[in-house]
Amino acid sequence: MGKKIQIVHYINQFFAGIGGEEKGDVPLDFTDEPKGPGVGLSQMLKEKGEIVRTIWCGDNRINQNQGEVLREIKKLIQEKNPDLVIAGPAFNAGRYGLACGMVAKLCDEELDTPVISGLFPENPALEIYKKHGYFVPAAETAAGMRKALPKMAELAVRFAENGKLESALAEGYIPRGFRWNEFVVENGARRAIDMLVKRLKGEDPQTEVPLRGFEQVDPAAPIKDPASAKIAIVTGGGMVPKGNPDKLKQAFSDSFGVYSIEGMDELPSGDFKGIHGGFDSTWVDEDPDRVVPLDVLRALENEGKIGSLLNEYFVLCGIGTNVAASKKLGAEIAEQLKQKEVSAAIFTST
Amino acid sequence: MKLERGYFTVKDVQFGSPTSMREGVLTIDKKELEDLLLREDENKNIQSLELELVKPGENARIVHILDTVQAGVKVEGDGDFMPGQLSPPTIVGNGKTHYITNFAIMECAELPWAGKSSLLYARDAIVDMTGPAAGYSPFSETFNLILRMEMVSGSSDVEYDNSVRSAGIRCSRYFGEVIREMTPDETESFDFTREVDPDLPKIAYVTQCQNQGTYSNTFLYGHEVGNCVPIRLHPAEIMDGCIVSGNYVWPCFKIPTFIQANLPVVMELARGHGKNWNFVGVVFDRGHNNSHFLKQRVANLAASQVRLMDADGVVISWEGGGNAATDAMLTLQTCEKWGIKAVPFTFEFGGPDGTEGVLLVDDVPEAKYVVSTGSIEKPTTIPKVDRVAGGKELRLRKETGGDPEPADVERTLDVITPFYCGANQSGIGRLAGVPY
Amino acid sequence: MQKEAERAGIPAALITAIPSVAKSVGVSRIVTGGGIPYPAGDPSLPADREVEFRRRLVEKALEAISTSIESPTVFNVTLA
Repeated sequence: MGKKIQIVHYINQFFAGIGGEEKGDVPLDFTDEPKGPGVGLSQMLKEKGEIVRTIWCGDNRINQNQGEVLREIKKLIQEKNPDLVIAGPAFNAGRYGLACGMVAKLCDEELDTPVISGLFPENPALEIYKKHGYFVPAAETAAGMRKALPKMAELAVRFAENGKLESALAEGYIPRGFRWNEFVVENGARRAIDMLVKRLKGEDPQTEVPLRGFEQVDPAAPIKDPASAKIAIVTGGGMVPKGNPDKLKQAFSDSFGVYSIEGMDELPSGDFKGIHGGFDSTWVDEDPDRVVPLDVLRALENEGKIGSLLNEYFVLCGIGTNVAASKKLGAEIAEQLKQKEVSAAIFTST
Repeated sequence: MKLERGYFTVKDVQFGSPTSMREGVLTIDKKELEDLLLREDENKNIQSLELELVKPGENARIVHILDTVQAGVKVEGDGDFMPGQLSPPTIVGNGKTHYITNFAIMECAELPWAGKSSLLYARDAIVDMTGPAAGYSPFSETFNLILRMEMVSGSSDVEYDNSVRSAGIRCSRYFGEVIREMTPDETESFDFTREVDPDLPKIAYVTQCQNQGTYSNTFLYGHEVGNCVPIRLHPAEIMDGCIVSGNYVWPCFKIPTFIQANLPVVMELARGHGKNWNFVGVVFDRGHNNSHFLKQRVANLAASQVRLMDADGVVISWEGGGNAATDAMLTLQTCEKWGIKAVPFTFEFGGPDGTEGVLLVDDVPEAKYVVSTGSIEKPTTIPKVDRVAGGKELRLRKETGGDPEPADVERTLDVITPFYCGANQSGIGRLAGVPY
Repeated sequence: MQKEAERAGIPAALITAIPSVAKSVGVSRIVTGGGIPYPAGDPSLPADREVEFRRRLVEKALEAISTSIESPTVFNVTLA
């Protein structure tokens, strides 16, 4: 890009030279030149960029007065209209890490300005804020400053030269959570064999697909006695009235259906049809109770083994449904179950 | 096994008479071939068949693609290229086989959607020869001969399936005869009989196919593999086409016959055999087993085959998009538990920007080294094209009526599933999910 | 979806043929079902036995819903 980029740097009371923990309540302040680690950083920017303002705040102060402090920070940044904001590095510091994260979020959401920072990979602030900034991996303590600063400077220089930053692996920042499709240089077969050969040599190659854990939800309290409970049926197995009246999708669901089972002793074959795109629906078309066990539940209701069966069932096709959509649809269904005073639900899926 | 592969590469393909290959130009007698394919369709399920040519770089889109087949012929050695297909199920892999490397025969037809199964029907499949979607398919780079077919009504799925496949096989053999006696442009030899340095790591490959019923089947030596147990195959058998695909259900995941005879992991491992590693063999099995117990059973049997080959490491491919992930992951898990290092392929979910929750259908804690074949939840805007081959319209969404829509216009598809081989897990593509 | 019901305080049991997927997703009450194309059935059984199998699955689901649990738990049925 050629021109020297303008940078605003955010640090805390310690790196501003004011004091440690005991000075955590100092108010926001600034100076229009590099300060603390910014001095070293400036030299590393090699004429590609300059720090035109350094802002600092006590770690406790910013965490306890987020709204107010961030509004002020926003003004201070806007006054300088920088190309880039740098925060920290904060290593594994708790409150300082969160502060850097908040600054990143502010700049991302309200100022459309990228932020470069550095955090220890297990700093909890990372999970919360990683998608708002570019965080290089740093050591646990400030003893790692000599390694963290050059990495941050490098990123800033590349940003200055190219106007943007490439993928996490290419640039060296901690993956922010985004994943984009690209046509990479080697085909999958080469990459897989390469990865395997490295492993067989005892090396630890980088996986291309991190395993993401699922959110754990606390199980709800059990019901006391089925004989007094109102039960509902919910299925991800795509069994809908013939003709799919609400045009539910066979995969990548974005809606669910609710259909009456009032007075029915079973789901009659022919009147109901499986539309799930991930399994052969032949068997459930033959007998829809194989995925919506109405026959058995109605019998149990008649025998008094369950209090009552809700007069409707819920359905969608659970395939390729991403987590966000599943949560949203699941929450909507749960809301309806609550409104209809359902005590417990039986789900079926494939 | 010792196999010599003779490769012919075409520079251009044209209709003309007689059918011949001269100085890299393949000339095809259109009427002769059309008549032959119709005549040999003994059960008369094909109402009409027209040949079309689509070349690399053309502003064209191909639709209704079912299976894609390579032109090949066994010149020396037992059996036919693609044994068991309209021929005896003779074990292959020895001798000499000729192939055309960059010419693909595509069976295209709007198979009736009247069948009742929610899974088992041919979802419309697209190849764009140029533009943003071209990279999704290896066939944007090949000269494609389209067998554009219309089927009679009133027949059954099994019969339609047989007819379209037979047409493709016959077509392959027709061109096979053209190259049988010719001298290949290039040859490549694989000798698995020589001793291998015992210090080289032993690597195996598991290829788990899809076989869930008619229109989603895979054929091993001529028969579908619904009840198959994992079986060890020699890489040379695979190169001679012992695996044939009849899988038309989910376009982005399927591994068509052309690729089955050129599985990229098989080719890479074979080329490095005796030099970088000892390629001890291939395990072929089927995923989508119907219960956890059955999945675990197949996984264990597959891992057992890998262990019987004394492998140190294994690459695992699987075909399909849903619960077959579990079969593959369980295979990996058993291998890892036995000290065999495994690297699988997988496509990803993740939503449009990759942040949405889960990336995989299923995984096991041992799956720490995984290769991505891209996220299928990314939108693609395909441009207006000058020409559509294979058909005129796209049929999208059977479950909501499946009304046909024009295939040549610009349109945004919000997932990659309709693109032929777009996210398939054979490792042939360069599409990958990249972290940002 | 089952997790969202639990989150809203409605105990729920999932009948599925692949408990491993349900477990890793974090579903709390899981009943091992018949098969992927017939989670609450088993076409290899004669019709009346299949209904009995389905009844056992549903009764086991009701048992799961009536049981206090801490973490993903798989319940199985037999036709004994």
